[in-house]
Amino acid sequence: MGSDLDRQIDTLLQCKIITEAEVKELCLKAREILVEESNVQRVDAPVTVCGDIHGQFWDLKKLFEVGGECPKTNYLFMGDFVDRGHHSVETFLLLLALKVRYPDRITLIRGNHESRQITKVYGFYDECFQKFGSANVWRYCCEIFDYLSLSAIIDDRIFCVHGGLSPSINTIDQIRTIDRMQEVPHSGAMCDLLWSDPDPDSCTGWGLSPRGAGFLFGETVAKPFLHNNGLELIARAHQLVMEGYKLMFDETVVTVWSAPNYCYRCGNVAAILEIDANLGKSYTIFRDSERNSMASRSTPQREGPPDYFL
Amino acid sequence: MDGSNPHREGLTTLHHDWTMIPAGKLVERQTPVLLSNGISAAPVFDEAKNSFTGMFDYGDLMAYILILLKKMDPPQDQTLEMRDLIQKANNSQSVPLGEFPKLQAVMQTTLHACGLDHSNVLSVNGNAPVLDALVKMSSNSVSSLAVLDDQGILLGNISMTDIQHVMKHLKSSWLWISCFQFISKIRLSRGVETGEDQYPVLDVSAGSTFGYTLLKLQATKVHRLWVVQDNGSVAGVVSLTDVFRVLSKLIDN
Repeated sequence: MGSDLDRQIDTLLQCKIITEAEVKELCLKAREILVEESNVQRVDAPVTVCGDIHGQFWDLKKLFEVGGECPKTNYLFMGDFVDRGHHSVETFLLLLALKVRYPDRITLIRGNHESRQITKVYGFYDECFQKFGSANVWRYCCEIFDYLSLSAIIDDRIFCVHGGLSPSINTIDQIRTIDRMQEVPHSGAMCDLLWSDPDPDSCTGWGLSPRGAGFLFGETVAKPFLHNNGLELIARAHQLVMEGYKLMFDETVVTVWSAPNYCYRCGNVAAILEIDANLGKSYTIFRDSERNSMASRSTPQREGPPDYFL
Repeated sequence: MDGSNPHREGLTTLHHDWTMIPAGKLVERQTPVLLSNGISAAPVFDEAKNSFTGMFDYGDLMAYILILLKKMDPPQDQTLEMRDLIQKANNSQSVPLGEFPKLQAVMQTTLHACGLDHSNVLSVNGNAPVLDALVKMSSNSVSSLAVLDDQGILLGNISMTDIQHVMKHLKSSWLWISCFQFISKIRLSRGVETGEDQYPVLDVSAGSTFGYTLLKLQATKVHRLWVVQDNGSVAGVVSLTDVFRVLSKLIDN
């Protein structure tokens, strides 16, 4: 069993897919581990916190070069592993396989894209169908998405969530009471945690989100939340940042974005947040991998190259 | 085009009857202009400057209405431009004109009570080609359709604006892909432009209040929100036209 998993990891590290039967088996094992995790999963520093990956496999490999290999480096990924990029399947399965292999050295929390409805629109469903010939792998992965934690907390001081805060949530303990093992709802606390955005221009506390789900929250919401929960920082992802990371609200909220040259055209850099044993924080920037231009020529496309309006 | 009319100088020779809104007029008088001509934006002509100062659209009106809900003192300067009003209001400064208690009441009414959850919703199946949607919109003189799956659950929205986008970029082959695939491409494109992905379905429920619906229309900057039931099936649609029809009744009274 163990050597099987190592072999599968080796395969995935080369950006090659494992069989559908192997995916099913992997998901079963992953479920057993994830079901034990809390809605607010405790993580010990030192840890390297990462943002959206969006199927950009070679850039994930670059991330591991820059941040150190797992399990040597302890990692926390804040969701959005799939959709948009060419290799959502390989990316997610690699992270999942690493989780099964080294459960205490990598933490995966749920992003808004870890959802049946979203992956049908934004590419993961199509990629699974194309690479495996049926929707089975997509279904297995979506079931796993349901088991992913909603958030993490590092040494009780740094709160990590994919999107942001919710008007329904004042304390970390309230998050623990959510029944998370379901498709991301269209509204409510669980949805907000994965969809909200901080709004640096906001004068008032809460606003409706232009995304159509979640909320915008201002400094007047973030700071009391931090204070009431004994936190020093909220780390989140969910929004493209050209400089890789962006600090807001007197450096109490940070957006970390880990997909460089997003969608192979945005020209942004990516970042990871390295937190040491004393909760010292340092940001490392990295650019996209040269493998991307090679890969897009050989990867089977859906209907020609990604069709983006220019 | 009547060349002797200074308002028309400089305009194109298209056969529009450009509807113009004099700058500096109160917003209550501008809305009927928009509604009666069935347009969603009109150029604002400033006679003093003898030029066009901008477009007045439903977005401005909505922002204005929302701000009216807050109690404001009238400013001393009564010659404020419409655009300045919105700007000031957005910065939480004073807005002229009195309060509208009737407006408050409407804002708290549910869409169901407003009768806005029984519209006849025109739709297309997600698997149908985009061309079918275009034909349906055209023959029914509507600017958008709900895109539904086989069970009648709302998947998203396809509108003339989206299709015009296609035409502009000459991707005519997209007329033959399915409506769902089309929605997907639109969403993929928009998400990478803004750096943030939007929820695929922009909707409200029959129990949502009119005020909430306005807020959501303004936040998401769309022209319509689908009214859905708990199971995701469509009960109606609230467009900007519906919103201002409701609001205009208050203004007339």
